[in-house]
Amino acid sequence: MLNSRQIYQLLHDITDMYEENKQELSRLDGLVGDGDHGFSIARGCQAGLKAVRNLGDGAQAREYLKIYGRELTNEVGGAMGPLFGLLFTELGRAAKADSACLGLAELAAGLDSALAIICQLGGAAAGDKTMVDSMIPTVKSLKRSVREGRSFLDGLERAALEAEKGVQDTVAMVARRGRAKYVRERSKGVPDAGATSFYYLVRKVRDFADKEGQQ
Amino acid sequence: MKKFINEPEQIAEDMIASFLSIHHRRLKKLTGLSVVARRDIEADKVGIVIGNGLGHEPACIGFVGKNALDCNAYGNLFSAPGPKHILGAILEADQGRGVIVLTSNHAGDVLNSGIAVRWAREDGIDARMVLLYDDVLSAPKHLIHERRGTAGTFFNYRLAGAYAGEGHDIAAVERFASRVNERTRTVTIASVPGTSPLSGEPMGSIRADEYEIGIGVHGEAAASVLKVQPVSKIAARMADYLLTDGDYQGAEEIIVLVNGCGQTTNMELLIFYGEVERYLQEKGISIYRPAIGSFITTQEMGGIALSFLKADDEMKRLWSRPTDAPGFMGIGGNLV
Repeated sequence: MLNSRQIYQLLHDITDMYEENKQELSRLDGLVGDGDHGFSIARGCQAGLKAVRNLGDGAQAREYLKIYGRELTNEVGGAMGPLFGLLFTELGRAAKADSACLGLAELAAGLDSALAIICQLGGAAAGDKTMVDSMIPTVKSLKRSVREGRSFLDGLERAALEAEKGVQDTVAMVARRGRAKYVRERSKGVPDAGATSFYYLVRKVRDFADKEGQQ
Repeated sequence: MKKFINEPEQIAEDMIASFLSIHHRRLKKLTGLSVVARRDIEADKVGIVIGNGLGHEPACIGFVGKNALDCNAYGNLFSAPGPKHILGAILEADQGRGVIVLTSNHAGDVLNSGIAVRWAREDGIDARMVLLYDDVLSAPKHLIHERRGTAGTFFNYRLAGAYAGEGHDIAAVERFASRVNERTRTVTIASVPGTSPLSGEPMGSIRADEYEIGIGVHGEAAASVLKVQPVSKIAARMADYLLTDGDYQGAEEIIVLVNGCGQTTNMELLIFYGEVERYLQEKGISIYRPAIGSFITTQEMGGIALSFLKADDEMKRLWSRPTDAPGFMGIGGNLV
């Protein structure tokens, strides 16, 4: 369970993580698309973090997540900006307004809601080789962990494993949505950059929980 | 990649700065936003804006002007701007009578425009999206709303702008723009893909002895391939796609757009146009004031988009209204 102060710090860590991985994510994207994915997401996160910092460290997690998502959306644009921004704005809506505001149940609810909107707005379904393919197993795993009453860290460990498996599954897929659809068959054999970005996000939340001594 | 550019990250800034240096008397950039706007938007008219990615010049920055677009929110290369930029364009264009947000049917354009329209409406502005789609080979007729927006969107930049300039209310402008869209059909053929200035890689692949027919404005994979053949046959085949899909039969006059995709020469566009004209004459269809030029481009893609608009009298009248937008200057020569 994370509190608002920890969410503030987590958003710093997420921003750093995308900065460190932007070359790698753009390289993946470049194999089938524009090659701008990692740079765009990193730029969007920087814009989000700037807005979060302007709020100071005494605000609510809901506010941090909302403004981070909105600024990321505005900065990145394209299809990826709004879709990726939704991860944060929906987590913000799911977060509780008290000191212990984001646990497994809130993570599951927020990502589940983001997944539904992403599928609806982006028109992607399972198997289209998009971020949805790593989101579906992640959300499923989080929901199961909530039902089974698992600890925060245990639930995140499992979710990160499922997200990674989801990325591996995209390797054999042919892109039907997103920029990668331009090359269709040629997209086979390469993991999807959006799915990889989502996996990195889940893994970073897991690492952060571990660092904070969460059980 | 051999392009005459500085760092890829600087493309938008460099290009927009040059564009506004040339046109600063009539156009400006909104502070802190990626929006090109008219300086002299008439009071008491419905605003017309669009948000879209760069890389298609002169579209759409070149279509900002009197009797055309009031503002263009631009994104990065082939990537729509974030919603705050489109919202900024809406706020600038709003003269109290609402704003039409023309939206070419691509995921990013629809998502960001959709959010901006929602934000504007929350702020009490009557913003409405009109979706533009015209590429007949991108989806079958029963899934017409899934078709991509391509070169035929050109008609609305001119016509919806001129119609709004006459002072009609927003419901009327919305209906008119939708009617223009419903009467527009486009098919695009390409011989050589463009090169992405970001990655330096070709956007798609086309064999040396083939054309791709049904390719999108970002080089999206085409519906089918065609062996190299005489231009008369290509023109007839492309015209047939449009005539079959769009119900242009009879003694209608249609407005024809022959749009070069970037690399194609004016020589080829004129020769291609001649073949289209001959073919339509055989079918008993006459052409009203065609537009010929490279208006909506895909970097240096070699290709031609052919669009037909089944124009009614009102559309024909508005097609000739003067505009000071710099991007309508083709070699048809009638659109200035």
